Amino acid sequence: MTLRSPAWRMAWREARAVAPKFAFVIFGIAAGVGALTGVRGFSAAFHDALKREARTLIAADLTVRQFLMPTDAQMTAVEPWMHRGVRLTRIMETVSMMGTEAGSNPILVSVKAVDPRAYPFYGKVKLEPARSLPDALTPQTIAVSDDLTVRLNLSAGSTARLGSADFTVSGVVRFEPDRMTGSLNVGPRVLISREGLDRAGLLIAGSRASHRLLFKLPAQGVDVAEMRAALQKVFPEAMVADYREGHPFLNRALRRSTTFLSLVSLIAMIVGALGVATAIHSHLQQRLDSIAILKCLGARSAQIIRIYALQTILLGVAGGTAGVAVGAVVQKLFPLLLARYFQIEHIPWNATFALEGIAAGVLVSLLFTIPPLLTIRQVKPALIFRREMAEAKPRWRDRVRMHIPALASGCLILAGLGGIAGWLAESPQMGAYFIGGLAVALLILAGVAWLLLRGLRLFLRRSPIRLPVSLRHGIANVYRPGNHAASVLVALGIGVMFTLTIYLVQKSLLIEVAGAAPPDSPNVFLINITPRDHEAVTQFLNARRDLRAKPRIVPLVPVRLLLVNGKPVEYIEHAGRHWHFRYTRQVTWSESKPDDVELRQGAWWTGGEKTPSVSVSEDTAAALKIEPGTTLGWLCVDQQFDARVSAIHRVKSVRPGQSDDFIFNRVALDGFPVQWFGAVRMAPNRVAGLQREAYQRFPTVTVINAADVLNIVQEVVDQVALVVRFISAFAIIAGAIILASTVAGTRLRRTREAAVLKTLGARRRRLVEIFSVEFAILGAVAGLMGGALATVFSRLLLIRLLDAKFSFDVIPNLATVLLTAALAIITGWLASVRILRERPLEVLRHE
Amino acid sequence: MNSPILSLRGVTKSIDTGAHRVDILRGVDLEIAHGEFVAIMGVSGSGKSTLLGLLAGLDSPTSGSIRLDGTETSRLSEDQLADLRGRKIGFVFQSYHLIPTLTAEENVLLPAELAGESGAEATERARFLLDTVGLKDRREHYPVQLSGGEQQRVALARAFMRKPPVLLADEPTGNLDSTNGRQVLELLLTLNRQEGATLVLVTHDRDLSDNAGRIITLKDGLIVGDERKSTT
Repeated sequence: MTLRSPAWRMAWREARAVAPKFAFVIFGIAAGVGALTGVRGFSAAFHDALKREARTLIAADLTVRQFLMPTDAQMTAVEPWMHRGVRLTRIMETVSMMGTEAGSNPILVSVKAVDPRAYPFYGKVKLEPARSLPDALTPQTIAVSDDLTVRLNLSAGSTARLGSADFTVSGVVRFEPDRMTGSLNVGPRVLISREGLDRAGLLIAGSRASHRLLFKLPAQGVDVAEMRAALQKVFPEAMVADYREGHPFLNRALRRSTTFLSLVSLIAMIVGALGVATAIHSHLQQRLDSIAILKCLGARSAQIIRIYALQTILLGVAGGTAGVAVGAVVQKLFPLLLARYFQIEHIPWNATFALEGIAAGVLVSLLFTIPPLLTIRQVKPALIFRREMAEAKPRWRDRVRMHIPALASGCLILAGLGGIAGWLAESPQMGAYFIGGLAVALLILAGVAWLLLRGLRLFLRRSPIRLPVSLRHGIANVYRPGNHAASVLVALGIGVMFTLTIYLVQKSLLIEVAGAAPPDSPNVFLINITPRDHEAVTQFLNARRDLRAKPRIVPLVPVRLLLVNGKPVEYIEHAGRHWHFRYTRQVTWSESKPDDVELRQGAWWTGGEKTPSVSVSEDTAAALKIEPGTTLGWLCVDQQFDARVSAIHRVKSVRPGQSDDFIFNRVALDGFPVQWFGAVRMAPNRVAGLQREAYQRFPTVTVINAADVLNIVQEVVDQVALVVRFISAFAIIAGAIILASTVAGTRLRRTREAAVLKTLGARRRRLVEIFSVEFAILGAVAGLMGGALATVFSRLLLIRLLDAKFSFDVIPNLATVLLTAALAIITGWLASVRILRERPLEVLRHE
Repeated sequence: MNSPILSLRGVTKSIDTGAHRVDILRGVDLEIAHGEFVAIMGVSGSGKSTLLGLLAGLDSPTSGSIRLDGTETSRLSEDQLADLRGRKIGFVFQSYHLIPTLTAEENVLLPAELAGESGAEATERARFLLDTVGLKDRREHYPVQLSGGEQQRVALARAFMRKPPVLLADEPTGNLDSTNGRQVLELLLTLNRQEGATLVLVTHDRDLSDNAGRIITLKDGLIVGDERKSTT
C-alpha cells in the first residue's frame, strides 16, 4: 500500500479531521508507552553502569564476601596468588553503637573498616572536606555519613565514641564506589581504618560481620576465571564475584525488577489500548454511513478494515511517540526515587527502546481494535436506507457463528499480549502467567462491571422511593448510548486494583513484621556480647527493674553441618529450599531442656553429659532424614567434630536471633569461639535509657531496638513501593484518560441534552448535579470494583505467595472509592466543561 | 422485450423491530430489461427503498431469488456482492453521501480505485465526468465546500465512473430546490443516454417519473401497478 493509495489517503484525512477527538486516547497510549520506555531505559542505563563500572562497583577485579571471618587456612590458601602479583585488601562491615560525650542517645551505625592505603582498588571515596583516604582515616579518626552528623550533631573535628575508643571525625563521606555491593547497610555509615577497628575492640571471633576480600589482578599472568574458581573452592560459603559479570545479586535484582515494572507498564499500556478500542468503536459508529457508502461503491470489507486499521496505527504511532517523550522524563525521575541507594548519574536516551515502545504501543492498540474493526464486516450497505430497524433475529446457531470472529479475536488479543509480556520478561512462561492473570482479572472486572451496572439499572427502575431528579438523570446517563460505561469501569478499575493491591500488600507486610512477635516476646536485642562481658551484662540485665520478663541470654557458636552418618550433606536428597543447611549457622547449647522446647522423640541429655550430643528440630530431621542415634559431623573454625543426635524437638515460641534447628549440649561446643546474645522485653519508652546505660558500660555491645529495625524495613519497603506505585499510577492515569475520552466522545449528545434541559427550565446548577452524579457513579463503581479485587488479590498474594497474614482494613477501600469518584468527577468535567457555556438556541438550531 | 438485466422472483423481506416482525416486501415478481428507464413510486413505507437495495445487492431477501445480469445475487457472499456492485451498479442517493474527507475528484475516482484502477486513464475519465456535470473548476473542493446541487452532481459523476450497466437512484432530487433538481435530472438523463445504462429510480416526484418509460407502483410491499409508455 502506498501513501497515494485511497485507503491511506482516507485514513490520513479522516484521522487529521478527527484528531482533537482522539487526543485523549493518544495520551492514554502515551502513558503506557512512557512508563515502559522509561523503565527499560533506566534499567538499561543501570545495567550499562553495572557493566561499564563493574570494577568500580566492587572496587576490585574479584571479591569474596562471607559472613565468617576468613580462617588462617583460607588466608594461607590465598597466599600463592599474592606471589603472582595479585594484590589483596580486606574489608569488614558490621553494625555497632555510636555516641558522643554529650550523652545523647547512641545510634545504631553500619561500620566499614578498610585499609585506606589499599582500598579502593578502583573508583574513589569522596570526602568533604576533600582529602585523601589515608589522610582521613588514621587509627584515631573516622569519616561519617551526612545523616550521622545531623543526628549526633557532629562536624569535622568533633569526637565520637565507637566501641571502647574515642575517634575524631575527619570528614563526611559523600561517595563510596562499592556502597551498592556492600552488606549490613542498615544505619548511617562510619568509615574506619582496620587499626581503628582494632582500637574500638569491635571485632572478635564470632562477631556478626561481613568480611570482604578485594583482589586486584596484575595486568597479565593471572586468569580471572581460573582464580575465581580456585577462590570458590577455598571459600565454599562465600559469594565470589568478578568484574566480568558485575554483581550477581544486583544483576538478578535488576532483572527481576525490570521484568516486574515492565509488566506493570504493559498493564498501563493495555488500559490505554482499551481506550483506543472504545474510541475506534465510537468513531466507527459515527462513520457507519461512510462505511455503507463505500460498500455500495464496491468496497470489500477488508478494504474498509484496512482504512480504520491504518487509523489505529496512526493513533498508536502518535501515542507511542508522545510516550517516548514521557519515557524520557520517567527515566530521569527514576534516579531521584532511588537516590538513597543507587547513584546513577548519566542515563542516555535509547533509540531502540523508543522504537520498541512505539511498536508495542501500536501492536497493543491494533490488538484491542480487532473486535471493533471486525464489526465493519457486519455493516450492511442497506443501512443507508434503513437504519432504525434491526434485522430479523437470527437463530441461536447463527448467533453463535456470528460470535466466532469475536471469540477468535479475543484469543488473538490474549496470545498477542502474552507474546509481548513474554518478550518483556524474556520468558514465555512468565508471558503465559501474565496473560492468564490478566485474562482472569479482565473477565472478573468485566463481569462485576456488568453486574453492577445491571444492578444500578434495576435499582433505578424498581426503587420504591422517588429519587431526586438529578440522581435519576445521573444514573440513567450511565447507560447513555456510546457511553462505554463497562470499558471505563474496566480501565479505571484495573488501575485502581493494581495501585491498591500494592498498598495493601505493603501495609500488611509491615503489620506482619511489626506484629510477628507475640506480645510478650522480646523487643530489644543485645548482640556481640563477648565472653568477657557476658557475666557483667547478665548481672546488668538481671538488676534492672524495668524489664517485663526475665532476660534471656544465650551463647551462639558458628558451625556448619558437613556429614549425616558420614554422608556429605550436599548429597542428601532433600527439598530444594533446604539448601541453607550447607551454610554456617549460629547454634546454641543448653544443659537442660528449655521450657519452650517440646520433646518429640528420643531423650534430652542430663547435666554433665560428656558425649557431644545434639537435639534436632522436627522439620530439619524430616528434611535430612535424621533420627535419634544419627551421628552428625560439624565444622567450626577449621575444626571438625561429631555429635550424636539424642532427641528430636519442636520449638513452641519464636526465638529471634538464633537457629532453632539444632540445640547442642555444652560439651559439644566447648572450646569454640562464642558470642552471647541477649533478648529482653521492656516498655518502648524505656529502650533509649537501656541503650544509653548499656552503651556507657559495654560500648562494644550493640543494643538493637526492634522498633528501629522495623523503621529500616519500612524505609526499604516504602522505597520499593514508591517505585511500583509510580509506575502503576500510569495505569490509573490511562484509566482516567479513557474516562475523559468517552466523556468527550459523547459531548455532542451531552450538549444537545443540556440544551433541551435548559430549554425546559433547568438551571446550570441542576446540569452540574446531573453530570457530576454520572461521573461520580462511574468513579465510585470503578473504585469499589478495584478495591474489592485488590482485597482479593492481595489476600491471595500474601497468603499463597508471601506466606504472610492478611488483615482486611475498610478505610483504604473506602478512601479508594471516594478518591476514584473525585478523580472521575474532575476528569469528567475537564472533558466536558464547554457544555455548560453553550447557549440552547445555538445548539438546537444546528439540529 | 429485451432479455432482463434484473429479475426478481417471489422476493420477500421482513425485519424484526424487537417487539414484532414487519413484512416490508411480501412477494415481488419483476423483470427489468437492458436499457429500460424505470421509475418506482409509492407512498412512504411502501417498500420502494428496500426494493432498490435488494436490486443492488445491498441486502439479501428473506426469501425469493434476485438475478442481476444473469447472476443470482441472493447466494453471493458479502465480498462477491461488493465486487458485483463495483462492476455493474452505479448509485445516486437522496443525501448525496459523498466521503467528506475526499475532494470532488477523489470522490469520483473512488469506485475505480476500489477496483484497483487508479492510473491516468481513470483520472482522465473522472475529470471528463466532472466536466460533463459542470464542475471542472471544483475538482479540488471538499464536499463541505460545495452546495447541495453541486454535491449531487459529483455523486452523479461518481455513479457513472465505472460505466455501470445499471444505474440506481433513490430520490436523487429529493433534497434539492426545483432549479437544482431540474438541472440534476437533466444531467442524469443526458449521462444515462450517453452511457447507455439501465436506469431505475425511486421517487415521489411525478415530474421525474414522467420521464421514465415504465412506472412501477408499490403499496404495502406489493407491486400494484406496472405502467409502460411507448417511448422514453
